[in-house]
Amino acid sequence: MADTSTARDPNGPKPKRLLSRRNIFLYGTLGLIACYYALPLYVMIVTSLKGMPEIRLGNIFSPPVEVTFQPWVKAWAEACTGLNCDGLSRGFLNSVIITVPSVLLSIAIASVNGYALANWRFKGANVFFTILIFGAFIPYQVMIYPLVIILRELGLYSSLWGLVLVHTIFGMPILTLLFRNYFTSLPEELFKAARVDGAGFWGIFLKIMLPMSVPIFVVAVILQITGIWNDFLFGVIYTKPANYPMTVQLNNIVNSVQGVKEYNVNMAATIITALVPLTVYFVSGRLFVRGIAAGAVKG
Amino acid sequence: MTTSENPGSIRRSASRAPFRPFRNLSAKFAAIPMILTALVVFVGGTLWTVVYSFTNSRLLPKADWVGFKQYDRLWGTRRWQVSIENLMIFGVCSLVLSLIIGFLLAALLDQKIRFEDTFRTIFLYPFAMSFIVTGLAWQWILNPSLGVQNVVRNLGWESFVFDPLNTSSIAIYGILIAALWQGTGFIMCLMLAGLRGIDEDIWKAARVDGIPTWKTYVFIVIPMMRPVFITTLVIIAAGIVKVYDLVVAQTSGGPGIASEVPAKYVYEKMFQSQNLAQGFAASTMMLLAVLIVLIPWAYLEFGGKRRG
Amino acid sequence: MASHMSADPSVSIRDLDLRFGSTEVLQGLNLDIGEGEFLVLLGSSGCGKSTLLNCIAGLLDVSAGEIHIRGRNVTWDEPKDRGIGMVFQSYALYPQMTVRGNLSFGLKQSKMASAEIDKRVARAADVLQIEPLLDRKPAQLSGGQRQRVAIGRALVRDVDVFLFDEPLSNLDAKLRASLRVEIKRLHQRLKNTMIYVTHDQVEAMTLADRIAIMKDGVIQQLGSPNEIYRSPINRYVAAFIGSSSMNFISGMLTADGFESDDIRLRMEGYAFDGVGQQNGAVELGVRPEHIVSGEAARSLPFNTEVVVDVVEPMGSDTQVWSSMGSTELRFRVDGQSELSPGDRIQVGIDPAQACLFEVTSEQRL
Repeated sequence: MADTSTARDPNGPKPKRLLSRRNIFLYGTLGLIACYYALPLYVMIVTSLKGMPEIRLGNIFSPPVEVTFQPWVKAWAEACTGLNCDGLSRGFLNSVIITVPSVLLSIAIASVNGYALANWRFKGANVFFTILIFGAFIPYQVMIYPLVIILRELGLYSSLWGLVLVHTIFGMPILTLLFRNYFTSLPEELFKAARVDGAGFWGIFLKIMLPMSVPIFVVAVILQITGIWNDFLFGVIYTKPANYPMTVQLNNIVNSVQGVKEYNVNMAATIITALVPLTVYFVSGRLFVRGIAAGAVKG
Repeated sequence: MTTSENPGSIRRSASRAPFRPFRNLSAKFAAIPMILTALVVFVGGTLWTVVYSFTNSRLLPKADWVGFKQYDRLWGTRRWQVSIENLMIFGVCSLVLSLIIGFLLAALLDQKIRFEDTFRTIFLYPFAMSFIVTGLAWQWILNPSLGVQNVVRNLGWESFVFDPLNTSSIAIYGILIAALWQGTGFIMCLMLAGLRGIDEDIWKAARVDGIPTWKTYVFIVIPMMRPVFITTLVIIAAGIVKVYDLVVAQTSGGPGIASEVPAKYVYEKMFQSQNLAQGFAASTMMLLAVLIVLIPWAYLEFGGKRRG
Repeated sequence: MASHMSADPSVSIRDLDLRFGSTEVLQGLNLDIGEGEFLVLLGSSGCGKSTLLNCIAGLLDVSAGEIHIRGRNVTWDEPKDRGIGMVFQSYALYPQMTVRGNLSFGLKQSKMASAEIDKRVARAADVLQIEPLLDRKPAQLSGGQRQRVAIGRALVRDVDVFLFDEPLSNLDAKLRASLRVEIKRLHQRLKNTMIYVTHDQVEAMTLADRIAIMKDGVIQQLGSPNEIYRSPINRYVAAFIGSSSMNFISGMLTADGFESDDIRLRMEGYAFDGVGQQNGAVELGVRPEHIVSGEAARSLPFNTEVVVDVVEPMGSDTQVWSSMGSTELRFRVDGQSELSPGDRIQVGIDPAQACLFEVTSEQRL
């Protein structure tokens, strides 16, 4: 009876219409939402490539009729912040000088913290850790002024290293958590074996743990580059105008009240400021997601 | 204690009472930055600010106690009242909408679709951008004479009005639009991780039982994701109180004081109008707001575990 | 076994293929499962046994072929319409609902009258003895109780075919043994068709009417537990089944019988498969429990003296690792025996209890 099957008998995969109602709804919705999310970036890009006359006449969504890179050049080298008129290039350099040591120092300290918490549980460790995690949720506003005093006493206020210290302090909760969770997930036998072999605190950290932790360090670097580059508040408070990071300069350029608004230059400047974190995001892909999710969910 | 009298015992610490300050010395040494941060900055700094909010400090902190005067003045200030109102509106809307949009996006992406990575990349990229960039981009899109309003008017609908950033009554919603655009992708990621953490067999069992997909979500999956929702809620709430950069970039608190927020009030009192104690009082109120969310959550999350 | 091969099988799988991209998971699989039969799909992980079960349940779309349940072609049907109930390894209980809620949720979805729902829940609770648990939540239950509730959820559906996906793998050894008996009792009482996936050969041997041993998406052998144990169709099946694995001895098969460096064995009483004796390179397979030791060995066609290397007492009996010239031989002796390494002991092999495998094809001769 098996061989008498006609063409209509169910056999093999259930036929699926590519354009089933479910698929149209699903991909249609996703497509529309994706457009909504992509639109601002698109608008920024097309605006930055138009000349001012075209912007005044046209529609923000239409692609540029005449592509010009002049706004980009101007945003980078000539735009005025109210203090000086050498564009974002100065801010870019400041941001690099702030971000690199901040990322390195904060990760170095937090990874050691996480390692000490995960493998060398000492009395009281959990108390400090709990305070640290609570600290992640406390509004910065209650801590910024005491920090101003501390930095002033240390002679670091409005210097580059003061800001680096601030980023290290406020990055510590989430990074420590990230590293602690990672080191806890490594097999404990490994740590015990190393201790039996006579390795000490730093020996185990440098020779056993570090080589196994490359992925989590990459995640931490992504998290910190993005976070520190995008910071605005600390940049305003703890540095002087000559050292302002890029975000602060960008805001000063765009929201400066003097002169005629040059929207194309503004948008070019905005994109340039977003370029570093966006590059990190698009290059790192899944690791970025892993970083922000790991840092947040387990909090 | 009897064993410590053993003359052959060189390792005294091994048989002594549990207080051993020199055990794990390296670990304790390495933890000094953490301990300092926790005690000096987080605990010390917070207490200091709270204490000095009861003074009359202006340009510099000084111990000139005035009781609750700063708080009286704070709550009598129109600008602070508007800030709190805005924070409430912004907070409730952004909590509810973030959770709903984030969950819906995650559920859509969880349908074993093609191009999942592409969609996720598009939904999440705004999160990589700073609030300043977000605010400026949306300031431009919402620009009344050249942005969306203008485009719709040019399409023929001459009377169309959509100008939140220059309309006092709805300015905060203009900021909300930008904030949701920036942050929902992240909420989606948290929700997606939660969805993926649900046992595949639950879905199979529901299918064998003949339960429609939407019912499986509503009656089975969402209740199972309660911890994820709670954690997400706390993360969003803590973020809402900190909102500052976005407002500075998008409206600078305007028009007038229509889109002021507490964080901005604090900053300006402390660093611009030389009224430190007023800033301390305002930031203490912010702390209080966060603690109201945080303490019940911590109790639920960690207090419950010890018993279970 | 023949009694299960009735004209109308309960579940019938015809030329089933399943591919994920370019990987073939199941290939041209045919299987008929009789009404009321208990069939166990047995194999190591990745052999496709769970995949096959998911196909039968309708949780996976097949790439080619048909699945019939009770004479109806269900290949394109939704799982709920196939007349099946399924029990999962992780129980898959809905955590926020009580046991009663778990049992009745599916029935409520099909808009069943609540009196009927109550009746079915009560019956399932009675059969599985979970009445006292009905108002508890899954988190308040032990692993064994949870799995009973999961079985109950399949039971209330009042279906013809039960599918079990490694239902006991998450339990500890003791609970596993007791639940195993309960499942057997359940089958004897309900007389439903049951398809049971496991990697545990003890479960398979004790529960099954027939076992299908799978490897790489292909059924290696389908037969009663006894058949599979006595006459494994190939070397893989022979090695897979048996609590301590079979001895394999390489040698040649000639007209005089099996011949290796240390053994000469006339194959009197050996039942050759199909084509009969084919001489050439072979492997002789003998289960440790089929090797006779001590004085009784002297009466067997082949017997020799071996040197004891390692003794592993296991309580009821003892496994002995010994060497016979250059050949290693494992066998079992009574748990009371007091052998120690270096001892010599007489062992014998009965050809009727042994298996011969062709070396290249690994098929039984």
